[in-house]
Amino acid sequence: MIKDYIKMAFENLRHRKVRTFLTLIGIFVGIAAVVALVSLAQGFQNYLDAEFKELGADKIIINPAGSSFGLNDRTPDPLTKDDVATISAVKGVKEVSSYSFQVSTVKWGRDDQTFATIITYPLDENRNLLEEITTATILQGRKLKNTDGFKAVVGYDYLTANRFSENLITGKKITIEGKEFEIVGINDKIGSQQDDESVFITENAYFDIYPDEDKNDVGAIFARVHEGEAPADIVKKIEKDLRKQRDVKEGEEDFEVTTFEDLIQSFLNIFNIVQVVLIGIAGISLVVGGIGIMNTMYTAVLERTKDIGIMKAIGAKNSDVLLIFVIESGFLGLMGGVLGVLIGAGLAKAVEYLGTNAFGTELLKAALPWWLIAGALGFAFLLGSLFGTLPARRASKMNPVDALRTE
Amino acid sequence: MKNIIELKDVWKTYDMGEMKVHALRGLNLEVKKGEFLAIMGPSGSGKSTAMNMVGCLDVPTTGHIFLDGKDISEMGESELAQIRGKKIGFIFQKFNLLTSMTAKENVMLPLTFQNLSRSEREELAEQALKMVELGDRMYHTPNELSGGQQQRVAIARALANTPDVILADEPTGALDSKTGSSVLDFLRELHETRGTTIVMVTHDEKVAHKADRIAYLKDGMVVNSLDEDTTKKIEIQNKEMQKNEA
Repeated sequence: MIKDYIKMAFENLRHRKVRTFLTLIGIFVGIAAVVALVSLAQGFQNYLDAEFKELGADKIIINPAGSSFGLNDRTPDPLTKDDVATISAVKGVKEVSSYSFQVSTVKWGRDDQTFATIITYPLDENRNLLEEITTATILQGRKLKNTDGFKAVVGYDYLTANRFSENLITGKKITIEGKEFEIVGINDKIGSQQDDESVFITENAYFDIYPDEDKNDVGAIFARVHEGEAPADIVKKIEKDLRKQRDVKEGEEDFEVTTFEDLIQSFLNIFNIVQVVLIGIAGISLVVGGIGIMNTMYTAVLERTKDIGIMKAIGAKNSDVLLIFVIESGFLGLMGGVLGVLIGAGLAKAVEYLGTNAFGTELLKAALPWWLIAGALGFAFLLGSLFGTLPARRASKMNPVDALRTE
Repeated sequence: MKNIIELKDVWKTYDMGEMKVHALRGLNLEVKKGEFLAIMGPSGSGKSTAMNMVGCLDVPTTGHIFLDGKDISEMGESELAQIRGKKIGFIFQKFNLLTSMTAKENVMLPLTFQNLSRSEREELAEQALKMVELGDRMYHTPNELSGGQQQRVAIARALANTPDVILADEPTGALDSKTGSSVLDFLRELHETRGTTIVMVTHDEKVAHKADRIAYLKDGMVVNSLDEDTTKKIEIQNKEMQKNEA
C-alpha cells in the first residue's frame, strides 16, 4: 500500500513540475549549504586527526605565556636555554629541543622577495624531534649541518610557486638581512604558505644576522616523553619544575605547557563553535524551505479537494488520506535533499579544488562520509513530512460530501 | 426478500446560521436485496442528501440507517470509510475519475484502500474494465476517453470490489441521450445478470422507469406519487437543463 502511495506521490509531483521544482529550491539550497559546510569541516577534522597521528601523542610544547597563536609576540619573558636544561632533567622526558625564529624579508634574483619565517634550531642529536614536528623532509639537496656557514634549507614554495618570477633550486642564492645564503636543500611540501616559505639556517648564522637576539633565549621548546608515560602527567611535572626555575607562583606562570592533543583539542573547540554557528545560519534557510513545502502542500490540498472527496467516497480512511499527503510532502523534501547533497558535495569539492590549486593549502578537503549523505537525505525527508503534516491533516479531516461538491 | 438498506425516520438538518434547513424530514425508505430502485424528485427534494446517507458519506442528524442490518448512523468516519470501500460502489453524474491516473489505475484505487495485493488488484481491475467493454482502453487517462467511456470506467470502478449496493447519482446527467441510454442498459443488464442491488437517483422520469420501483421524494419525505405541479416543475427543469446543454 505504501508503495502505491509513493507512486501516487511521484505522479502528483511530476504533474506539477514547475511548482515542485520551485519548492525544491527552498530545500536544496539549505541542504547543499549544510552538506558543503559539514563536508569541509569533516575534511578539516580528518586532516587534524592525521596531523595529530603524524606528530604523535608523545610530544609536549612549551611556549611563553600568551603566544600560542601570536607568532611574533615577544612581550612576555622569553624562554631560555636554562629552561631547556630544566625540562631535560624532568623524569619521564626523553628528549628536548628548542627553536628560535624571526620574520624577515628574503630577496633573490632581480626583484623577487617575500616575507618569511627564518628558523633556527640546535643541530644536535635531538634535531629529529623538531624535524618530526615541522614534518619537513628534504626533497632536493641535503639537510643543514653544524659546519654550514651561510647556507640555508628553504621551503617547497621557492622551488615551485608561480607568484615568484624566478624559482629557486639548490646552489642558488638568497639574501636575508643583507647576508647572502646558498641554498643546500629544499623541503618537501608541508601544506600552508607560511610553512612552505620558511627558511632554516644554523644558529651561528642566525645570531650573526640578528645580533640583538639574546643567545640564551629560545622561541619555543618541544619535549618528547618516554614510551609508556602519559604526556598529561609529564606536563604537570614540567610546570612544577619550570615555576621553580623561573621563580613564579602557581597561577601566575609566564609560560604554557601543553600536549599536542590539548593544542588540537582547543583548536577543535573553537572550530566546532564556528561550525555550529554556520550550520545554524544554513538551518534558517531550511526552515524557510520547510514553510515553502507547507505552502505548496496547502495549495495541493485545496486543488485536489475533489480528488480527496472521491478517494474518501471509494473507501479511503482519514489515515489513508493523511498518509498520502505526508508521503508526498516527505518526498518533496527528499528530492530537495538529493539535489542538495549533490550540489553540496559539488560545492565542497570545488572549494577543495580551489584551495589546493589556487591557495596551495591542504586544509580544505571535502570529506563525504556515509552518515553525512544518509543524514542529509533522512533529515530532508523528515523536514518535508513534518511541514506537510498540517496540510495533510486538513486534507484528511475533509468532509467527503463537501469535498465532492467542489469543482 | 431481506432489506439491504433501511432508513428509519431520518432527519438531516443543516444549520445555516440563523436558519435551519431540513433537507430530510423523517424519511423512511427500504431497499430490498437485489432490487433496482430509482429515487426521483425535483431539485431540493433531498434526494442527494438521501443518497449520501445510503452511501455512508454522511450520517443523519436523527434517525437510523441500517446497512445489511447494521446501524451506521452512529459510526465514526473511519468505520464509514471502510463500509463504503467494502459494500458500496459509487457512480457519479460527473464520473469523478482521478484525471492523473489511467482507467486501470482508477479502477484499482478502491482496491488499494482494501489492502489487496497488486496482482489481485490488477486482475480485478482488468476483469471489471473488460466487463464494461473497455479492455482496449485500460491505459488511457480520462481526458483521452469520451463521456460515455468515462462513465463506464466509473461503473467498472464501482464494480471492482463486488459491492452489495451500487449507488448511481444521476448517472446519465452529463451524457447525451444515446450514450445515457446505453449506460442505463448496462446498469439494467448488471442488475439482471448479476442480481446487483442498484439505487439510482434521478429527476428524469424516463430514466427512472428503467428501475423496478420508483420512490418519489418531495420536501425530504417519500410520497406515494408526485402531484401534477411537481411533475410539471420537473419537466420545466429538464427542459431548461437541455437548453443549457445545447
